[in-house]
Amino acid sequence: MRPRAVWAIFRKELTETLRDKRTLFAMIALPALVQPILMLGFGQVTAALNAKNQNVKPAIAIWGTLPTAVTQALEQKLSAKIVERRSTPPAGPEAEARSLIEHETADVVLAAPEGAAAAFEGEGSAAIELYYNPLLSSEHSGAARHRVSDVLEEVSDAALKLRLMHHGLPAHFDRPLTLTIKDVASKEQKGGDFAGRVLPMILLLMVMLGAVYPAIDTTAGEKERGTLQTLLCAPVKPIEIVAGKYLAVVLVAITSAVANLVAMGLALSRQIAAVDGKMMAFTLGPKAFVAIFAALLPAAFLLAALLLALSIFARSFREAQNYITPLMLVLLVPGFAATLPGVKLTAALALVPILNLALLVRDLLVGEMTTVMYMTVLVASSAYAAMAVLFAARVFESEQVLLGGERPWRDIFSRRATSSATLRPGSAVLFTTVLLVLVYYGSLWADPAKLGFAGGTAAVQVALLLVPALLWVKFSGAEFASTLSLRLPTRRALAGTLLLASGIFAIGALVTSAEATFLPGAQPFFDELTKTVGGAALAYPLPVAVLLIAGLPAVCEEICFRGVVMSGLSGTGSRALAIGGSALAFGLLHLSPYHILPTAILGLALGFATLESGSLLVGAIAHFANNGLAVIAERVPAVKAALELPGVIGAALLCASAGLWLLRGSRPKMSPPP
Amino acid sequence: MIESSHLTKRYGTFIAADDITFQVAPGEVVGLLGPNGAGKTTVLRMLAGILTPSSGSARVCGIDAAIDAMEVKRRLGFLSGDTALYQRLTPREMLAYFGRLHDLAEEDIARRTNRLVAELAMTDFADRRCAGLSAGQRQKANIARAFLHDPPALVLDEPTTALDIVTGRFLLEAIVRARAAGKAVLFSTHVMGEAEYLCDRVLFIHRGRIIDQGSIAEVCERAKVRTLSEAFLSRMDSAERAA
Repeated sequence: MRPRAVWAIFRKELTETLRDKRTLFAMIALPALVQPILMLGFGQVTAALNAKNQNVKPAIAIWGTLPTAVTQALEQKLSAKIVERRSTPPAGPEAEARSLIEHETADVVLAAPEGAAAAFEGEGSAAIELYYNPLLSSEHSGAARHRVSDVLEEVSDAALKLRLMHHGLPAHFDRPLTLTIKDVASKEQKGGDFAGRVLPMILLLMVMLGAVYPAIDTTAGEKERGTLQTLLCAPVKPIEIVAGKYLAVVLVAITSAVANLVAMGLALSRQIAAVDGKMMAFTLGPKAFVAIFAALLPAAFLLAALLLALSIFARSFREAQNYITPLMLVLLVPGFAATLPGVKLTAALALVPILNLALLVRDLLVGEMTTVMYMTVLVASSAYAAMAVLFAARVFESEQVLLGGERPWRDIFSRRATSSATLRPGSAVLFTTVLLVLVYYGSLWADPAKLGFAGGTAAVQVALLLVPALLWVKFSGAEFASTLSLRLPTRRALAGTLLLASGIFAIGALVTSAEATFLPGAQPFFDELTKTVGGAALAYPLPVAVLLIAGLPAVCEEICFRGVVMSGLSGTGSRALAIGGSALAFGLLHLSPYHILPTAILGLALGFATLESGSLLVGAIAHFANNGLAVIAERVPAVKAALELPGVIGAALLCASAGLWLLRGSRPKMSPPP
Repeated sequence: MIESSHLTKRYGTFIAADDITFQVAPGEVVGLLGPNGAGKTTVLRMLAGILTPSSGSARVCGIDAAIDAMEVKRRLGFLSGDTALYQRLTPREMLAYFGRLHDLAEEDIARRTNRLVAELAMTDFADRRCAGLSAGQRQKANIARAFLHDPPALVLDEPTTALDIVTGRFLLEAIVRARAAGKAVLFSTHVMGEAEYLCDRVLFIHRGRIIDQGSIAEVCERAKVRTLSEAFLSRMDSAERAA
């Protein structure tokens, strides 16, 4: 993949999008206008209705004899209109009350049984029934119910006070226990919770709306306008076309969503202040902005990729809209789920596409997000986005889709005839994603706490790494030897390997030490790791310990990462991407944020060594030496102490550097790079 | 320079191009002549690396388009009558865009663009958005796009369609200059006058198969007629009757 070509396509798509006045209007101007109008309009209408209901004199039907104090209070405090009086309640009071209220003869009906007034005047209890209907469109009945019941409560309290006074009892005689409930949530938290329930679905829709137009315009629109053939005349790879278009769509989606959110945030904060300003606050302060932007990234990555992959199938703008409508409906489900109480962002839900984004937005706004969980959602969404982008690139290779044909789906999903004996970049990314899910969930089964260190390690290395890697190569139809670089290194490479192997531990030691110093929480993690590995190194006989800690990872992990992943990524034509991508996958698969950096940097050295030498054996030997030395160090304290000396570390770094220098370009001349 | 060897394209049971074999040498203009639906565009698209052949090979400068379409596109200028332009870009911006996709250096892009703008008389509209250009101006911009990377081979699919006579003539002269510069040009058209004016050799294609090829004099002689139009009609009639 050529970055300049991707950049050229990105710039061109962005220029075209920004020159379309309709897009600009829909992206920026429309939200700035519509959001305040919607919010303020809604607020005004609600406030007007509430005010109207508060001022309306309730129409009351009274059945039976109410206590005089009650009747007086209703007339004096509410100016109530007594629209009907009956001496006794009817036989079927509920049906009659419903009829009266539905015909709007009365807003509420108060029914007092015989003797109620006497009970009130004496020291009994008047059991009064209040009939109302909260579901009538006028809402008069619902409003009247609150106002009438408030008045009745006041009358009851006053009567109680008199009774207590009459008996010479204190005012709180009837309340042996007084409970006052205090909500300690701050106004900001309440505002965040409110926004967290409202915003996830809205945010996803905003990103979606921002991405829809450019995604369609750059794909189906290009087909419809006939410029796709023009582009296909140029020497540009499908992945370059899709990557350039994708980046443009992501940027437009984020910009549009931010514009929408700013407008909505401002309008919403006004609305909350107007409705319940004393109880909660919501402003788009810097913290909320960072939270929303942090959530926007994975949402934009994924949604832009999905939209692009769908739109490419369409031959016209209209057809693309038909494809995308179901996706918008699908978005509503996780968006709604995020508003439900009790749905928490767990490790498992962090891998569920879309739902993880909705929950992420909510937790970020409430301030309950951890770095690990955020990274999990970001990585998962990015992985799904990468799969969607690669799928879109595959679609772009289909002439049946681009130029019309009867069987586009068969064209896309059929196994492609390829002259390459190795894997393709898309296959490597898909393999990494599958491996991530497999190891993530498989670790629950292959838990050393259940299977013991030996059983757990062997299960992870063999069942979760080696077997899937070999099956992947087999079913991809790639050649084992060339995909996994199964060839002997040259003499020069061998010399380089020995030097690298003797000093590679220093690379990991330096990075680990730096991370433990600067990253909070890293030191306890590495202490625990050393304890586990050290315990295992001492618990088993030396050959078994070396096999478990050094031998198995050297074979299984090298086949996975320097074999399958790096071999596939080499198909991009970029050595940096192949080495960097496989190192990142190596780091991520260790499933700990503290472990990513040291293992990824180790992966860079191993990847460079393997790619330059053309032999997987080189990476495997260096990997074995790195882990094996850790075992020896745990068993021989003198070695451990020596490995911590600055002079030894410096010499080891020199050896490793010299080894990498020797390995550079040491590939056998007859074997071109994959 | 341009070689088609047993080139075939099937869509299910329909054969759009059937066992097409021919060559175009450097400094030669070859015309691909056939009625609508004969398979001209399919053949040209396979040569340009836009379509993958079902069998056979399409080579440009010795590179098989099915194996390395990218390298073929670097060496080929492809132009058709219905090639559209980006409406919201100017011709100059479009040329810069395609120059970057061809990995040309920025200074080369600017230099070649200025030269083409002058040669193709595009100065008046080179900085106007393509949406506002006339059909002739758009086709000039397209010619500039196809010539920008100075390809040794040109594949032109009915490039004068919908052009007025002045712009059409302008394009034909550009093709003559390309031939003089040693480029191999494969050219499809319905207009026999254009073929007579330009082509060193012609290929008659009917229902996906080449039914005759040679210089204009040779095909006229074989058909026992005087003009290319008569030879074309005669061969098409014979092929239709045989089918």
